[in-house]
Amino acid sequence: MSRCTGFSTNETLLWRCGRCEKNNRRQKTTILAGQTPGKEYGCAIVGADGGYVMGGDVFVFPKVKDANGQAAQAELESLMLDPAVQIAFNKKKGSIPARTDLDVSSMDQCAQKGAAAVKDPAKQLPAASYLISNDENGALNDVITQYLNTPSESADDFVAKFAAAVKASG
Amino acid sequence: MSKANASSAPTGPSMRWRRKIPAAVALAPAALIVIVIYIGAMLWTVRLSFSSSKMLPVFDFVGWQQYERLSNTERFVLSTWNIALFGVLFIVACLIIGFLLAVFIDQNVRFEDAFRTIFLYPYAMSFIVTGLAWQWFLHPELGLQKAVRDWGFTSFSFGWIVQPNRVVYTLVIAAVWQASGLVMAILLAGLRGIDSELWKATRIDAIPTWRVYVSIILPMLRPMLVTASVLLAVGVAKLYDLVVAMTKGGPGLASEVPAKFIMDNFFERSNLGLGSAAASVLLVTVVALLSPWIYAEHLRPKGARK
Repeated sequence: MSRCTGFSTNETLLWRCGRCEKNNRRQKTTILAGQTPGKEYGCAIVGADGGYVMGGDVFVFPKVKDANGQAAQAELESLMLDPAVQIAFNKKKGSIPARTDLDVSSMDQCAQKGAAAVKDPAKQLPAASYLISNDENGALNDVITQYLNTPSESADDFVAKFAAAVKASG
Repeated sequence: MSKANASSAPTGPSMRWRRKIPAAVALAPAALIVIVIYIGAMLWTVRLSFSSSKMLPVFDFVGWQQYERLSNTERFVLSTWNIALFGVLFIVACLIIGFLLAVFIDQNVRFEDAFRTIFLYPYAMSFIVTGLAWQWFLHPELGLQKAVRDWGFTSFSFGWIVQPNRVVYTLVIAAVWQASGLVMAILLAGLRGIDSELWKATRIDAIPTWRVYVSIILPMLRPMLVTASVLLAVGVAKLYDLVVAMTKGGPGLASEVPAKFIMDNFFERSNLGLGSAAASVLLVTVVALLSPWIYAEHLRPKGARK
């Protein structure tokens, strides 16, 4: 999402009340702004049942023949998936651990909600980029960001523009 | 080339040809690059704008479909308005400030070299650096507004960069800060070329200095003004990195520009067709704006020139 920069996070906090989004940088700057989830802002997860939008990055290790290299790769791998590292890293990053068997009680409210949702396969939702083309995703983002930044735009206009964007790019 | 031929005395068509060969060989790579890469890429882009290409080029034909979508895309329409406003303000402000700086330096001030370097220095920076520095400076929570408030003026407010109807002006401010030094350098060269006899003559006629600058010097600087304007106009058409570094097109879509729309569609949104259509619109606009000038400067019959 091109709009999720540190700059627009500050903009959100300044000019609109905070929305909690599952977004790395948003979390980072929100911590910097001295606000805590559950106090100054809440956590909304998708839908009434609390679905979790899944998306992720992948680590790819090049195949090496050298035994030292293999050992280093194995060590890095176990370090990255280490429970303590996962918890500490994702507290700062503003995400949830990449494994579902960890105790998340030390994390903030948003992460606890998210981690609970991910354990239920029925609540796992694919991120938009898995479902629609980059083109459509981008066109919809344009409509959404314009609506969020234009107080004078009515909800009906927004719906009409959203539908037009789906039609044009779908 | 034509001049050299006219001045030499050709003994026959074959001699003339032989003399041209080295020049033709020397120019061939440049000509090849221009024809194949620039013009070829241009035609390729226009061709793609009539196709339904998404991530990879497809050579079907869908008519004006991409252009229709473009004209209905709010972001592109806003982008064109933004670039028009930015372009006019940027070029006019740069020319005025650049001219004033050049006149200031032309008064034989002390430390002239130092001033010249200071004024030209921003131009040595990339737009990314300029954009980032101005983003920090104009940021309400970090920059100017916070500093003035910390000095005790708590009601001071300067948040243009986060106001949708003001953010384009902040782009203009940053770009003018960067480019007016270049205009100064070009115009200063022109001012230095003006004969001191002219100044003596105007002094004898007791013409006020400002009047000399406005009515006599400025018309004489016309070629330099044209050069500066063309350089600035090129900067307007390709405006991209400043926006990316400073505002990312935000707040909302308030500082989007066509070049950013094109880049996003090419490389983020995998939509070659729409991006090509936007690029073609930009190309046609630039050609339409430049052609009267090219006609006036180069194609008008020689007798009609002053």
